[in-house]
Amino acid sequence: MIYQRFYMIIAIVGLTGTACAQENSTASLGKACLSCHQAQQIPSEMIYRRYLMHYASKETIKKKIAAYLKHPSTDTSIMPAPFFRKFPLKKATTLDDKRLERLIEAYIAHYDVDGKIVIVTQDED
Amino acid sequence: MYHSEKRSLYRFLTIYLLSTFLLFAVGATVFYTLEKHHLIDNQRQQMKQEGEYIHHQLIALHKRFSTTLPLKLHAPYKIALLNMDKKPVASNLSLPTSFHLDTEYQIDNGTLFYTRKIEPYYLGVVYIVLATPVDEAALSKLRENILLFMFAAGIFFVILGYFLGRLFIAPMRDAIGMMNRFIQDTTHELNTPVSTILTNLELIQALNKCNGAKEEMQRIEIASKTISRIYDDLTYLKLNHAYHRDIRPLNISALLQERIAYFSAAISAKQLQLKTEIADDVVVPMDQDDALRLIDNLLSNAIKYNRTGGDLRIALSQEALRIVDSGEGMDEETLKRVHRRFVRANSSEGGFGIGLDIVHQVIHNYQFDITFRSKRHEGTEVIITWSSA
Repeated sequence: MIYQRFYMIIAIVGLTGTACAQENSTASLGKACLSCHQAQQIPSEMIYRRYLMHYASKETIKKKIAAYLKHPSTDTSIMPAPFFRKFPLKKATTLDDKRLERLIEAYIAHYDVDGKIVIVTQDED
Repeated sequence: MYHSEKRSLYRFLTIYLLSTFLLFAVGATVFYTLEKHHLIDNQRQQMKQEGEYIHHQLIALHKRFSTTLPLKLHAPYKIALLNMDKKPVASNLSLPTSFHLDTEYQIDNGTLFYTRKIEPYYLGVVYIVLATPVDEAALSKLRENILLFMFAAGIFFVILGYFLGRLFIAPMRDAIGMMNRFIQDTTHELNTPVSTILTNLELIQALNKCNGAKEEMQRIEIASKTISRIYDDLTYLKLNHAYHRDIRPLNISALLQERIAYFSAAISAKQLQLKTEIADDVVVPMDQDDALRLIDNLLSNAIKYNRTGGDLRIALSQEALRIVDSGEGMDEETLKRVHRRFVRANSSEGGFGIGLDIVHQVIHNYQFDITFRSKRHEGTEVIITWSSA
């Protein structure tokens, strides 16, 4: 009887741990990043388009965003210097690398143009 | 038109038409290649314009933040938009494995590809790749027109070639005509005196008035008969084209006996050992004059080219006529060309070289078979097989 209760407690703790680990990326992104962006009216999608226009590679974009978030400066940012007159530089992130990577991936997935471009064929005229 | 004239005309036409065709084929190939490039260049220009159109749309769409970004594309183009990692951002086109992004234009399996690299990379697009099938309908129409032109030009050049050919052989026709007229006149002039000599010779022999000069009379007889035979050969050649043949069953055995008797003076003058094996009543459907020319020429050659005191064997069966002499013989090269007119196997003896030409004409007309077997210094064997008889 005592053993049964012990196993049950172990199982509940294990399941809760797994659920926590499988954090919803989008919700997490909203909580960790976009909530502030929206509050401060930072144009997140426009910033991503700027990344796209400069690098056109998701892997490079990922690295560049991570570099900026860890060491925010006008040099590491994709945005031009006048942008920071309106939107001051943020503090360096305190998130661990794994979480930061997941959040950047969620950010890219959220704003990417994959599947958005629809090819419409017109007649020759 | 004479045979040699026809042959020259055909040869001229063949060379003329072949060289003209070759020239036109080269010209048509060059023209087709240039036109094909021109057509493809047009398509390239159109693709370039389409590429610019897509580029402008990408610039505009880059500033739009809606959930769908419609990109307009003119038919029949297909498109692939690739990012820096060469992965598709949007595509309705599968690229071939041999595709090179660094080549602006390329053709693969009947499809024309255009690659445009853009910078900055609006919407993350680095390469715009457009594809369209090569305009096969226009190329097919072009091929059709070229073939039609070649056909029309071919007809024109055949007609032109024919008239040019006739102009080309006109001097030869005149020369042959002149020679024929000369032979005709000469033979006509020869006929009367030769006939007179032979008739009077026969009369003298019949009246036994040649006592003491038999040998001389024999020589005169041989010489006269030789002239007479040459006259017959020339007349035969001259009339060969317009001559109406009276083909009917002909007793070759009797005719051969008669011709051996005719040549008896020449045979005995050359002291030939004559051996004959002539089957009775060998009948072959032939014109008498053709048979006469065939036998006379073969016998005459066998006597003329035999050595003095040699053998002359004549055998006639239902299947073939075989004449064997023991003369100088011929080598293989001479055997190949001996039937040509004016070609003589041995120039030591007299003659025009028309005998075997006549023999071959008769053989050809009646579809007989002729076989020559000859060895230098041993003799010649001629076998005529009445294959169609």
